[in-house]
Amino acid sequence: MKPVICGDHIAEELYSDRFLYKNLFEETPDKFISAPYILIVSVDYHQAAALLHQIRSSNIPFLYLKSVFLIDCGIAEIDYIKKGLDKTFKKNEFDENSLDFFSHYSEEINKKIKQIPGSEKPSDNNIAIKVLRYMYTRNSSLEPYKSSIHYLGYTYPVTDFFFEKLNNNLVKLISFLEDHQLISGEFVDRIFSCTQCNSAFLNFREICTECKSPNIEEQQVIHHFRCAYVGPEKDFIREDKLVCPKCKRTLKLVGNDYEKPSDIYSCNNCGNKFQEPDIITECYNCSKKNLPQHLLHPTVKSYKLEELASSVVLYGMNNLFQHDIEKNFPHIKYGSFLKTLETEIERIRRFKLFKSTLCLIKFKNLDKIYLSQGIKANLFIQELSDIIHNVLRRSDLITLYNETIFIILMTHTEIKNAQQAFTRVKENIDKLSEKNLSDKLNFIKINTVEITGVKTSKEIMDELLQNAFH
Amino acid sequence: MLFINNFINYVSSKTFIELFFLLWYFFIFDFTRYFLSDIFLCCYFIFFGKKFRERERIALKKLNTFKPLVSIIVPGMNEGKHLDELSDSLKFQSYKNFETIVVDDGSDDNTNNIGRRLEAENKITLFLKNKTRGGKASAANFGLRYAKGQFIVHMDADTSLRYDAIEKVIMPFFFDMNIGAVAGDVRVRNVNASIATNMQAYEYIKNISLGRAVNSRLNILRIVSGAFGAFKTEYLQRIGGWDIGPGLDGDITVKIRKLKKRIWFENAAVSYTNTPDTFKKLANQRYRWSRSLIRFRLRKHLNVFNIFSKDFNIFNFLSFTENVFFNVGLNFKWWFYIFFLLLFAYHDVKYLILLNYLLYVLLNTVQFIVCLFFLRKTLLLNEKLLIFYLPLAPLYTGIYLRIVRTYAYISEALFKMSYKDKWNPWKVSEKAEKEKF
Repeated sequence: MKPVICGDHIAEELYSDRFLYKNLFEETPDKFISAPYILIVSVDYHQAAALLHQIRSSNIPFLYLKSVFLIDCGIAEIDYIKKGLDKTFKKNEFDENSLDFFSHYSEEINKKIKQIPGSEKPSDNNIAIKVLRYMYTRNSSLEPYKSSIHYLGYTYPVTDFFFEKLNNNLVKLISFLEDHQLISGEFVDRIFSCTQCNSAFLNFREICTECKSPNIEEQQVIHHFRCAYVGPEKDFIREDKLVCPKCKRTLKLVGNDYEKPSDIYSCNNCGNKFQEPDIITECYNCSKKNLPQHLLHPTVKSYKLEELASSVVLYGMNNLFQHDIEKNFPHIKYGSFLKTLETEIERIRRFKLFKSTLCLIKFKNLDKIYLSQGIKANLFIQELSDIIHNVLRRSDLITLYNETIFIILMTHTEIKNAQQAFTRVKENIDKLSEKNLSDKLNFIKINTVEITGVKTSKEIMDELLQNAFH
Repeated sequence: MLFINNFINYVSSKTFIELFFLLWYFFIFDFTRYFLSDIFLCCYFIFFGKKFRERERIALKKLNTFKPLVSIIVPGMNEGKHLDELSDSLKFQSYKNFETIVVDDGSDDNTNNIGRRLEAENKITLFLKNKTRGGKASAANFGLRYAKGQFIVHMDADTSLRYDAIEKVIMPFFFDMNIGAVAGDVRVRNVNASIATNMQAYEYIKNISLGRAVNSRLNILRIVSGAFGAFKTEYLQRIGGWDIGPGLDGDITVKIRKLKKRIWFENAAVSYTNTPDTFKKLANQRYRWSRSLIRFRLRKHLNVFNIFSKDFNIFNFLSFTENVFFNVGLNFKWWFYIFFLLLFAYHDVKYLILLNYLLYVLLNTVQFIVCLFFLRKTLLLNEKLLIFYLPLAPLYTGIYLRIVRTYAYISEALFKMSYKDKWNPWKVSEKAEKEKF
């Protein structure tokens, strides 16, 4: 398939013989998924940004990670948009060499995209993994960019095009990736930001120490050496001269017959005099007022990928969660669990005195928990673990089927008792999620099967797992 | 023992006339001055004490009815270490309607941090900082410019006040509307730090607590100490505040006297201040004080002696005359007396010196007993115990201070050393010398 060209009609006219012209706003992206790269030709910033967003917001790795180049026909704010592109050329710079560059560059990128399992299918709804995969395929870092339209005063242009709209999730996204050591940062700047909305657009106001009015006036203080009179400059002003109000001498030369040793503020509202005004900040975004010492003082960093990120890039976010889950849920290995299960089935069959229950717990949307909770996700998992352990007895066994599915063998427990216990578990987990998560997530699924000694371990496990993946 | 026997024989062999002739300096000047002043004070309180107490009671009532705002101005450089203690002593004052303005005259220590902290904690009303040092007068004037009070109290940062000192120092303005300034009683805080401070504590009680009380009643008080004194803001503004020092407290008192306003000394307004703890430091302080006498009394305000001036005032004249005569005149006369003894009684000089010494100890003891009586309500125990140091007092006041003063007067008269004093920054002293202030 030819590379796709999109943007202004000029694109179609100029380059149609070598490219396939597509209107990305009208056509489904799947149709040009196999194109080696996409070239945007545009004179309009908003059009170019919208096209790039159209590409990056896809959930198909082969599309959103695709190399995107721009032929700049005079776009304003080009510096910002070019950070989200693979390469930008001025129209007059574009030639045969450029085409060679596009092919060569995109070939390297596409090779890396192909390493990602299922890269042709819609699979990535999580922006964190999209950002990691972008950085991985480009071998690039996230560089902060000063921006007056982003609430932090800084943004990472690469990530902006992944989001639906500009919002606070950028901070959560970055801190999530950093907390999990997927990226590491290097200091670039420190900013002050609002305690309520994180906005860095703050009005620092000097205000009266008494009435807190910003209507204050600063005056220089003059000391007349000869007579030791000290007062604000306005005391000395007589028409176009400085005349000492005490000795009536004209002040001639600063440093020689007078000096300005300090400043003083006067409040036009209440008349208060003071030398150090109070300072208060007001957020332009949410109007929250803060004392400067109470403001947030986050660090702006540039980020690069850490080694741990490679496995997450290739095998998904669940790989990351497994570590926390395993740490918080003491369990036996799945193979050992199956052997114990067979022994249990055999005992029940032989003695026919009791029944046991096998229980499955599946966590869903763990990535959203991680994204919303950041570093606190581990504490959340720990509380989750406590809730589950509270209904278990020492004789019960837990195993991990995969990173999101637990199987529990509750010995000498009939299914109705097990169901009662796990109803309580579900209620407690719902309470926990209401307390900690802004969106109520239905992230737990419970399934139970009774062990009567009739079915084999394989049959029981199949029955238990059959609904778990839907 | 032989010397004592000879001394007794020598004294008993002389008639009173002979002794008067040989001890004329003591009998004519010091005995007259100090003993008569004690007599005056005793008579004053015997005859006017009751009336005075009634007047004071009414004045206090008026003060507490009108409750005028008092602005306390504390100028100084590198005084941060004293500010916490100062604000504490102000916190518990019986009179509450005051504002505190601390002026930092270009400190290079942590005064600014301490001042700003106290200002934020509302322990002082206003902290004014000058980035460069301009001298104490400019710092005081800076505070005056932003003072809102009807009365100004000027005090040093290392001065602490008795719980009722502000009330007592403002009270006299309400029994005599012609009072322009009130001098507070300044005592020594570090009494027992050294012999030097013991001696100063005694000297302050004798010369300030008692001496200034007498001068005040005679309407010839010439100084409101910078350590603690009160002024009517209106008069301070009229005279443009303080002029360049050193000795600016004496200078401003004269300026207020020239407005034909009375200067009052209030014994009940008690403050305590730190004094130099070595004789060397003390000498430097006294050089400054003594030089300012020459500079202000005999140069800047010499017109007070001009009896033909339309502004001539007899009390100002007497105040200056008393000051110059007893401090400068007698100081040099004392040297003349020593010369006189060596000339006329060379062989008996040792007996005469001892006799002089004993007479001065006796006079000091009488004076101190008068002090103990008049100041009984405010004297602290360690101040009362100073009576044991009285035998040393003639050495301190009679010899040490006289030598220091003599050196200061001569150096100022001949070389105008006060203009070279580092107490003021050079940029200011240069102007003062040029303008002959």
